[in-house]
Amino acid sequence: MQKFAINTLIMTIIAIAVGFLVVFAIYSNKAAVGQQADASSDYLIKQIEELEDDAASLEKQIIDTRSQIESLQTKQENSQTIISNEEKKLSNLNLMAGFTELTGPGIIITLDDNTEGAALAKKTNPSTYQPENFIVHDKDLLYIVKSLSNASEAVSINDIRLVDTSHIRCVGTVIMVNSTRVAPPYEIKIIGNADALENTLYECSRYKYLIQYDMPIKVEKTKDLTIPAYSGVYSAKYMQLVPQDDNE
Amino acid sequence: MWLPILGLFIGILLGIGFAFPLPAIYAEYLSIAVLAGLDSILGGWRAGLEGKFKSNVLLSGFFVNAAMAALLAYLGDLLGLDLYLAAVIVFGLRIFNNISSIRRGLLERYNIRKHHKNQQPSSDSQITEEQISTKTQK
Repeated sequence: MQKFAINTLIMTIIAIAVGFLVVFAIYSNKAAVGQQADASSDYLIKQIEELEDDAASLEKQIIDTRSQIESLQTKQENSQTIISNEEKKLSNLNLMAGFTELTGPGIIITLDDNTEGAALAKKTNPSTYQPENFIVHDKDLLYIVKSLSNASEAVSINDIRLVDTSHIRCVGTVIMVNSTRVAPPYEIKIIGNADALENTLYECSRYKYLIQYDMPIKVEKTKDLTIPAYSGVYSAKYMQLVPQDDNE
Repeated sequence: MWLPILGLFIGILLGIGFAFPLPAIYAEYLSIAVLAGLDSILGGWRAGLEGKFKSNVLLSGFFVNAAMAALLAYLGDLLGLDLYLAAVIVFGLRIFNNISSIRRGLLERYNIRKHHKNQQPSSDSQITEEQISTKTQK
């Protein structure tokens, strides 16, 4: 009986140990599987968070780049406006300086020497004949052009453009316009209001004087006049810009 | 007979009460050791039924088998071989062998008891399992 009791006791102890170990093993196994799952899900969560961060930073970059593009575009537009404004100014200045060929309405005044009158006077009254009374002088051209200057926008004499620095003078028996010799008939082309030009011309004392002396003058109004560009240059040897502050 | 089964339940309750999770790498070795322990206790039961129970065999078998199984699994891990499978197969086979032997032993005892009852149908003396196991051991 004693041996039996010891055997039963040993069996019982072993059974307790086995039962404990079984539960222990199951518990540990579950925990291990759980740990693995936890680890992998942690890893995935971390990855997701990283990717989300990446996406957020990339989105921010996109927004930054977009605003940069916009600012550059506005800058470009601004500079384009500035350039076009400057181009307009430049073309306007070129126009005013006479560097461009122009067209428009206006009048053509044709002056010629009074050859017939001269021949007649020579024949009938040779003693009092004065040839200078029968030819066109430089001042005739100058006075007529200047008297019309307030109504004229562009002027040419025999297709030589007159600008601010132009001169009309005589050298001996020849009239020079912009240092170029011109010969009769003198064709003065003026772009402007044709009616106003015509009226101003008829009021001009020099015109009346020339009519009095029977000089052949022809006045023609036209709607389509072409005046060539100024072929000379403006000299800027002595003049200088006065320095200006940019505070406007 | 009932005491070891009671002990098993006590062990399970103790496990539920005090078990803590081992690190994942040791959980596998523990499982192998548990398999060895199960084999040992079933072997003890079988030996008891067959009357060949020896406490030192059971005790040494329990500890050495569990330790060796765990060691084998560890060695397998070191070598990169699934050596724990060998332990699983061997102990699995032995557990099934033990179970079948126990089943046969129990059936035999049941038949003996039936025979006993048939011989003395009016007998009021109760034959306990302990008495039978003592008889079979002797």
